[in-house]
Amino acid sequence: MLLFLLLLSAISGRVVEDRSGNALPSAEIRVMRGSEVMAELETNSDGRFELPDLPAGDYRLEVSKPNYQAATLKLPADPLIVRLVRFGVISGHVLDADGKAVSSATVFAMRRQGDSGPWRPFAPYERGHQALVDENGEYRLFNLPPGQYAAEVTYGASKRVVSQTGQAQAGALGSGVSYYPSNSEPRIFSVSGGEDYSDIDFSIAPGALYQVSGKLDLETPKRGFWLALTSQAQPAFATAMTAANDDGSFHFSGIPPGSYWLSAAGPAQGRGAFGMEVDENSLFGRMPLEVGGDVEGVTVGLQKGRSASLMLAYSVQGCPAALEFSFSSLEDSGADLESNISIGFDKPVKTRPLPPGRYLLTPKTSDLKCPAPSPFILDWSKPVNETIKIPVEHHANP
Amino acid sequence: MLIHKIFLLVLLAQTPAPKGSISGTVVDAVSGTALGGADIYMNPGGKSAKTDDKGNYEFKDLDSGTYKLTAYQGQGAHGSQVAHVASGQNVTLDFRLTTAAEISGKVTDENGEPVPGANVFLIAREYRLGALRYVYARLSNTDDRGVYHLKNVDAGTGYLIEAVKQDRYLRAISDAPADPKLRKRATVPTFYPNGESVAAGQVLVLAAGEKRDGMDISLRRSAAYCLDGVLATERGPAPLRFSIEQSEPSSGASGDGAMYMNPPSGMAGADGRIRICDLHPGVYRLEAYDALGEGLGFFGETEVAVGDKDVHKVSVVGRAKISVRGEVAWDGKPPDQPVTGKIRLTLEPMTRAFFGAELNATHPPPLAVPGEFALQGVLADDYLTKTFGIPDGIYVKDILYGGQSALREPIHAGKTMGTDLRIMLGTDGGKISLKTQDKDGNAIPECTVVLFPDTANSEAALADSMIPGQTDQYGAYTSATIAPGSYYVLATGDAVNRTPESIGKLMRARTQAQKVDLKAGGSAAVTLLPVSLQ
Repeated sequence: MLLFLLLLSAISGRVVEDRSGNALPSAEIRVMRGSEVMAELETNSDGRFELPDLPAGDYRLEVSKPNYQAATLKLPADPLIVRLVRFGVISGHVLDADGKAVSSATVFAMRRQGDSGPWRPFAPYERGHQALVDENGEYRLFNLPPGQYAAEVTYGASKRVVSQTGQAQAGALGSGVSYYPSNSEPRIFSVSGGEDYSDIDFSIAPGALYQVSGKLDLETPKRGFWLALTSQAQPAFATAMTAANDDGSFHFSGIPPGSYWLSAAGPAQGRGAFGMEVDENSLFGRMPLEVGGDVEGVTVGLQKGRSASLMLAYSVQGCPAALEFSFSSLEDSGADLESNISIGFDKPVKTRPLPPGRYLLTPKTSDLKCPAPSPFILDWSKPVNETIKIPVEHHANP
Repeated sequence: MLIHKIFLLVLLAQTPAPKGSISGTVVDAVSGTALGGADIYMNPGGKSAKTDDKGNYEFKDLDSGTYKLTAYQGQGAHGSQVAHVASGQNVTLDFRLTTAAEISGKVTDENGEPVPGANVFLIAREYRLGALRYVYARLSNTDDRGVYHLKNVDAGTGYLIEAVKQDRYLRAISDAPADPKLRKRATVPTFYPNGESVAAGQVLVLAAGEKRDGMDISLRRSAAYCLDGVLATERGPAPLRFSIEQSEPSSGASGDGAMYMNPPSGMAGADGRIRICDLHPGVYRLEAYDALGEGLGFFGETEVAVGDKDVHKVSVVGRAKISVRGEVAWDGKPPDQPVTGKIRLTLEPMTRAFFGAELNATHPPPLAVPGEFALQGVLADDYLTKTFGIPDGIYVKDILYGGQSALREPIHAGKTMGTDLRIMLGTDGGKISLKTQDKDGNAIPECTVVLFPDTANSEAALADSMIPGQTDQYGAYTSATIAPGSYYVLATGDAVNRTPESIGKLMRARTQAQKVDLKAGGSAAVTLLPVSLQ
């Protein structure tokens, strides 16, 4: 015991960048015993730190530094070197054909499950994961941990702009969503530590733009309905949103040609970062729409959403009876359908009423000792009455 | 004369009055280039227009009357002017907009490492209620490189820049080690270039459209201290929310706007105990209050000075909302005719945003003149009292709270409980009217006018008592009803605000100002040659 105490008090350590081995100054180190913070240290300009005298016990070091992935190290460790992985950066411009900034365009860091899963915005409300272009058209995505990314821009009457301003106005460039460098072949940005992808410049030069107008099938005039046009090929963000008039008539302008989902939802209770706020009494509409020229006289039928009934396929003794999932819409309808849901093994749970579409269920916690489900896609294009069972993979204890 | 009037009436009835118009050009004040795409808003009427590529705009089909036009370019540059349109008249109103400036730089630590996620504030300096106050005016957060960009910086105004690195969410009980020597050092809010207080900050004045880069700040560090204590209501310890911020600078009003930052905050457990750490030496304002929104019933605040050791046993008592009885009363003899108009009163918290639950108390319905009123649910905090819509012929002579004047002082609603708020109206006021002319006797339109009593013997007093105004397109201005007394009156083409630079110029300009004695119940008229403020 005495020996251990002496060892600890004599120890000094270093924090270095994982790839280069370069010293990392100003890293913060919390010396933890259980949940107690025994000391808070910092590395000096040479990346070195010195442990204070500590009573005997089980210690670990929690090491963090902005722009680096945090790491935990158990003591004793010899040599005492902590390697931190630097986050990746993707930066560039969003410019029109004249080289002018595309104002209020927003670039998102996108990730997907495996090599073929749908691209989804990666933790979009964490710092650095989405970027509004500045007046020079510059954007900068940062704090990207190791992984495979794509970069997608939304501009015009995008959900982000509508959510923040309540206005749905497309300028001369119209509205659109676009991967870098093209929607057909998004470039994959691979981050394993400290990659800095610069000059990733989007050029927004739409060809012909069209108008889409029509009417919601409302029995009586109602306030607070919104519509979204969402590209079937790039459904993570609505291409454009517009507010319906009280009589149900609506109008989109600046729509590029393509195959879309036309969605409607309302009456909205408000608007938030994730879109229009809907509740159990809201009505929804959804129809495929081809835009190859101006489209007029579209009628969108409305109906209430339908709840899906879900349960986990297996139960294992000693594991939690229910798992927490985050629930999000794979085809952005402009409505906020993000939620959390707890799904159990023993009895089915009902989701909130949902419009037809596809939804992604991502498990929020993983207990290493227990079998875990993979992210699950709920195909609710054709609602069914039966309970849907979510597969859980059995695997041996690690 | 009578015949003439009848004739006019007949004419009006037969043909509608011809419509007028306002048109003009919007240009950049520095370069003189036309500004296309600028927005012009008109009041009353609520119409708006956009300038074309040559900077031209036009409002047609206007009834005769007075209109205020405000031009905006981007988020920063704006300017307002007033026009009188006579029947059938086409008025030309040109705008010269001053493009806002920008400040950028990098925030680093003592090892030269970038500090991401730091708050960088533009700090306005303004005289208000007897003191020079330092107030947040703009905010930028540093990116992963530690880079910040402060935009929409008003040109010609002196500002400080402050970099702050702090956690916005606090635990009730901080887990920082008990021994200060085992704690991480605290980050000290640092004023450009490297000061630890507002007094040590460098005042920056930017030119119109200037983009000043390289305003780098190396954050200073200090030993880190903790404070511990208990939050309570009058009934004992309570799970109140709490927030802590440095006393200076603070949130509040500045220029023609205001900025409010939510200070770092947390919530105590049932025992009311708190332990806040990572504090550098300085003076803090610690607030305690119950749930946000409608339920807000308790509010308390205390000042805590942190020196070179931990501070123990701090107590903050959230006091229940109080009712303030009030009266609008005549100072002296009431006027011969009863007053039908009502006046508006608001109470404005000095350094924080309004809570939803206090709005009934701080924004009462219009008050009868004279009459009694009650403000239900005022929080135990400091407020600035403001009055608006004073009917013609009367003026606010004083506002008394607990017998003390609150005309140039905040009221301390928590510390002097159960006292009355009295709005004392004077009927012995008068008006000063003036015309601005050049040496040849030609009217000079749209000049800034400033009136201030000759008793204002300090910059702070001048800022609190000055009455600003603007002459119209004919160079004419008439004040509201103001207290009788001796005033300095001056007109200038320069803008006037509450910053020390501007107030200092006014103080020096007294020798160029015209002195006007306004007798009780009287009026005074002067003609002024606009002066340049030095």
